[in-house]
Amino acid sequence: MRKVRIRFRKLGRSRFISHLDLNRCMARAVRRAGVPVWYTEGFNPHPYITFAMPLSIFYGSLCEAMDAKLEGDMSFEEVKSRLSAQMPEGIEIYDIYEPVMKYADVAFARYKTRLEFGGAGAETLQSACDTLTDSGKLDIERTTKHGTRVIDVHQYLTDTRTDITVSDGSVEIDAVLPAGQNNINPSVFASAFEKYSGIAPDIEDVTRIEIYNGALEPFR
Amino acid sequence: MDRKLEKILHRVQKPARYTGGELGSVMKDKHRDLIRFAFCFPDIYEVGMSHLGMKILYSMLNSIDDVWCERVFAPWTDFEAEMRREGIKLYGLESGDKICDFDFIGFSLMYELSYTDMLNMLELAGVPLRSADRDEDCPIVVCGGPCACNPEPVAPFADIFCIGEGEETLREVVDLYREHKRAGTSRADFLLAAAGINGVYVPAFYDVNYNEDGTVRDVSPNRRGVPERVTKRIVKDLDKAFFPDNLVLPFIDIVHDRAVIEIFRGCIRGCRFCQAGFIYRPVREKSPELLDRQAKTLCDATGYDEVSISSLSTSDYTGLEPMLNKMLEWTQPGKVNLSLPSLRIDNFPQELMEKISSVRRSGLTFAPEAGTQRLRDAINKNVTEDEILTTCRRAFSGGWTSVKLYFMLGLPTETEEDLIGIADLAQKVVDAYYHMENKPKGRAVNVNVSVSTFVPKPFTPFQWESQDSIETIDLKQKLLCSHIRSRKITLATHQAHKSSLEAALARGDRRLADVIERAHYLGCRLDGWDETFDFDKWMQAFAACGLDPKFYSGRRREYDEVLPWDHIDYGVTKRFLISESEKARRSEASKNCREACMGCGVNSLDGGCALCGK
Repeated sequence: MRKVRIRFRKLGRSRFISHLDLNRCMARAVRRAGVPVWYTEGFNPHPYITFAMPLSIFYGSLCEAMDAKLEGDMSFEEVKSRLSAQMPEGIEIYDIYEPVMKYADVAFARYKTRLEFGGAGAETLQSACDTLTDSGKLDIERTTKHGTRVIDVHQYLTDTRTDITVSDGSVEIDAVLPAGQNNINPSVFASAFEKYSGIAPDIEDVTRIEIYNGALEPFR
Repeated sequence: MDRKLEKILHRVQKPARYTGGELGSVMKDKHRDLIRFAFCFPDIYEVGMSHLGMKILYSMLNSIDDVWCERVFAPWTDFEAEMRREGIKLYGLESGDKICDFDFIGFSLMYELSYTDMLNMLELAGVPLRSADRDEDCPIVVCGGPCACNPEPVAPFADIFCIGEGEETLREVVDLYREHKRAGTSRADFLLAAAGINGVYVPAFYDVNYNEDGTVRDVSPNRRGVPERVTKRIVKDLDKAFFPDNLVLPFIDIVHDRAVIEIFRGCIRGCRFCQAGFIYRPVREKSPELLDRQAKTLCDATGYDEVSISSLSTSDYTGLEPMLNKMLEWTQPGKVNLSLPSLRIDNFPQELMEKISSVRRSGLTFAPEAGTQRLRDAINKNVTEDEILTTCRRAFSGGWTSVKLYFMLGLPTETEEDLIGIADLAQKVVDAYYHMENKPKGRAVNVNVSVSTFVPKPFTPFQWESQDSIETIDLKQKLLCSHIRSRKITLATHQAHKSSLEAALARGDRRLADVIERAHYLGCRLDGWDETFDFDKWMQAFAACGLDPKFYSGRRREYDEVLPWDHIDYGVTKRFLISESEKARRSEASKNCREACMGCGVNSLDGGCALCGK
């Protein structure tokens, strides 16, 4: 049995597919494609597929990773072309290979977050950004099933790797955030604007650009 | 995707209900000269997408080169509020285009409590609710489904009803429309021509007259060239009927998320409360070979790992074993599950049952419907206590520990004894488990008793019966509850208010359209959902229109009363229904169609009945 890692983009209409639904969608795609993946055993056998990092609904991605185990000797190229033919609109497979790193190695992710503020001019938005970056601390509360934690967004807004572009009606933040164990969701940026700058974005467009290991090497 | 729509989608639950783009959805070039058909299901996506009739008609219409059929579902309240606020009109999921610009808007009416959703969807589409208010530019509103058997309560809202099975009628309606569109004739001319198609009812061409006591005096055509009575259409040979070779594959989890095949239509049983058992006659089976092929085609096309084998009473299918054996040849290696709802397992071969894992997973289900043999005879439900207990014992020794029992409360001729019988039967099932010699240690049995409320329906022998009042139903539910003593038994009862409204709408006349419209304006929608059902608003609507729901639901009708649906003919004769109704009063069961012909009259339909040989 060979392990296989399938890398795909999730853009356009496919951003509305939630993580759970994506799981089911991929399992069916694998069945339609006739790719000989390993099935779980037991009462209700289904294709064994895992994902590196769940992606929030509405978020796009250029770097998703999905692992499966292959039975038989179908070539990776064949798997890729068969699966590609079965992808829903917006999902595009761009690479397939034997896994190099483990899922647990994922430590950072880079996101492009575009916040839209209907009607607000660039100047207003620039001063809102300045308010945020000039302040000492931008605590945002996040509640998950593991409890509530407080995240200081200031460090991520002012990080040297972070790039902020302000234009009429929108602010674009290109930032690398911790991922995996201490995952930070880029929705904290929208929350920070809402809580500390006085203007709330009316829509948030997020695209995951790349995922990395602890040494900031692209995940393979 | 439209930016405004995308913004809204960020604010609602399950946005994938509203995005379209699923695999298997049919796209056509909108710049071509197409007949655009919006197939509306008056309930939310998860319910509508599970419905086989819609899958069949969607594929059938799209198989016609110049017809583009799109799916439309009722929005949940969150999305509806956003649509209204942002001024977004109801659109087809495939193209995203507003359906008010389509040629047809079709509604599948599966249950009475979806009537307000039909109105709400028309309003969201920007189409006048009443046929009389639509002009030449408006889409033709065509309705079908089981509720069309009594079309009167919604008659003023529809331009056309397709009575009976829609596969052929709908195609003929569309063909006729194409001719008229080319010729540029008026809407009225088209409707008059459509009324000439067998199985088509155009309500505007019929007038209803009432007696002083509010009952119907007559329903008669108000112009020439319109039939006195409209007879339902059936597909003669189901093997030749259209069946899809692909399905729209939803992203989100829907109610029935699996491939489905229909093994036969109709039912040999004739349970007297069951509308489906009468309006889908005669029994017509598909061949096992064809079903096997259709199931395989669907699984290959969709990647589904489960096939549901659908019918009103699966055990009555004569080809069941050969079909299952054929299917198991590919479902087992392909790890595909077979799901057999409506299966009676008392005489089902054990070895076959073990191969069908879904039976094992979902547990045992019985629908005795009534608590005593006397009442079961009266409703013609031929399940005996012995059969239930024998099957349970067999299943318990095979490792099952959970049993579901379905009953109905408020059936005609029901007495206190019949209600206590429900509790007794459930207790006997529990006892059967504990009397088992080598019952597994440490495992308890679980008997789930689900009791719904009887709703008298048109075209059944109980169509003249009165429904119990809400107060009586409450009392009966309490009585039943007080007789259940074991903690192994879980009792679930249904909200009586909903059943009572359902009963009023099911046997209503055309005057009820005002009530439904009023309820809609009062904000009623998604009435089948507990979260949104508002009984008080409905009562307000009845009062405002000067009508009493009990006149429709809680009144025993005489056999000679003209019923609001008497101008609709489902083949089954009134004489037969009366004889069945009389037998019910004598607690006398009827034979099933394979044992003997009871003379229901359905053989008069074009195609006849294969069972009685006429």
